[in-house]
Amino acid sequence: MIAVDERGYYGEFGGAYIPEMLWPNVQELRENYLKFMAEPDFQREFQSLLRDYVGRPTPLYLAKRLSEHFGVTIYLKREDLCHTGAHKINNTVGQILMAKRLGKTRIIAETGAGQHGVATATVCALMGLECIVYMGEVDIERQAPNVARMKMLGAEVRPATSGSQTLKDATNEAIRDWINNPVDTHYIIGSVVGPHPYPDMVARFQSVISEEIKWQLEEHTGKDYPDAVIACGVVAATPQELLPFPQRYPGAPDRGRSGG
Amino acid sequence: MNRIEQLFQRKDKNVLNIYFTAGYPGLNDTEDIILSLEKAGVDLVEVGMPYSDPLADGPTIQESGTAALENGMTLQLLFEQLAAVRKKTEMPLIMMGYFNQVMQYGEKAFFEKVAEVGVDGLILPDLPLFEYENHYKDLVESLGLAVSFLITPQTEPERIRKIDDLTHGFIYMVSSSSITGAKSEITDTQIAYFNRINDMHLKHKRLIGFGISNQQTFETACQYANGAIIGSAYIKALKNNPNVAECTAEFVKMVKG
Repeated sequence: MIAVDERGYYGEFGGAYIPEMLWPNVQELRENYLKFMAEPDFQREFQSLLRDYVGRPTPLYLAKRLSEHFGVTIYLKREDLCHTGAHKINNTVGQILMAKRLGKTRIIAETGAGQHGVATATVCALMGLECIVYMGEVDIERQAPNVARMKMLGAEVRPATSGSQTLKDATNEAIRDWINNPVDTHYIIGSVVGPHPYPDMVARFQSVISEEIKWQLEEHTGKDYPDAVIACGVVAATPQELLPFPQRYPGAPDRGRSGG
Repeated sequence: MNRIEQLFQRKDKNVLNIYFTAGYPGLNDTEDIILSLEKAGVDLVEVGMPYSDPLADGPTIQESGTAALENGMTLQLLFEQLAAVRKKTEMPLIMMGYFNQVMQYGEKAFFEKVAEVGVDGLILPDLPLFEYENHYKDLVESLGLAVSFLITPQTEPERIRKIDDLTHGFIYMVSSSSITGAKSEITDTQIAYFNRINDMHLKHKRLIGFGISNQQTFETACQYANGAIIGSAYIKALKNNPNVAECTAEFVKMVKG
């Protein structure tokens, strides 16, 4: 595994290509995230929420018929059984604790399909913090049930009407919100993307998945290491689940369309 | 010494820098806009490279960028347009855009091309200081380009000093914690910030941008800095009156009074 360096680089990729207006926010997070995560109080609260609120550990299930079909042994790590129905909440629980320790009172997030938005709205409801979720106008129409869930949880869903009106544009709007609200707001990014320290922080919060796989696999098979890990679903979210296992990170600045 | 530095040597008050998005309102308006701005008495022109995800900009500039891309603007074409304009004017020119665009073009090729077509400076709001200093500064300085960095009300004094060391040309003072075009007047909090920066006696001249839109805000900005930058308000004027020469003359007259 390529570990992140002090500047947020994974080899040639990574860094923090952000406008100066965001520098203090990102710097504040960079200076504090490892320190907070190492605090016993933080870990106690995080672990207890993962267990009692999220419902961890999630089962590791031997898919017998699928294994027979392919002639290999296949286990399913059931992240779908987490509260809110996806692994996204592992990260939002971690980040809401981070936000509280940073003294932030207002949470913003971007969402595409809506799972991260729901996970963010859920932890904000849990902690009683204001929550604004940016979502592309096209996605809002496509994912109406998740929009309804976010609203039920007390979040405000703001449509991103620029560009392609999808995840990329929702991210732009969330970043603009953060520029306009630099003091009281924390931006909960949902995937291993964005400026350092986000990719590393999200990966650390999601590494609970592979930590569990290791001991669960050992219980099942006597071996704590799978021959292969396949992650499906949102591609952007895959690397974080593999953290203790060898892998390469993607992670250059997001490349939008431009003249040239 | 490039044209931006020369400008600040002969003029350190009421410097007016106007931004426009290249390719807007029309694909081939670049030359007309720059020459009209010069004729109207603008000191410095900022040429926006249209981009799909301009994070530091507000809706007005984003919309103009989207329209410019739809009109067919590319960096290649913009460089050709600017090379042609440079034969007709000695106006200091700055290109403004985002680092993704530079990476897509190829960093070294981009900086060399900027210098080759006769552009004097660059504003790249998401180019981090560390990366600039360690990877690009030597090349950029050897090409005689002036890179202007931004400071905001949240920028710490130590970092402002660092920015003052690395900047060439002028420091871009973001007037408030906001994206471009968001505000319409200047508040006491902003004035306190302007005074705080004045008291630092920085080496470089400073232009205030974001939220400067008319004679009143321009004059206020000029009281506390060497001049100001206007973008969104000019784009809005061009949207309402796409006759570039006429619109530009009226707009600059409105600002300068």
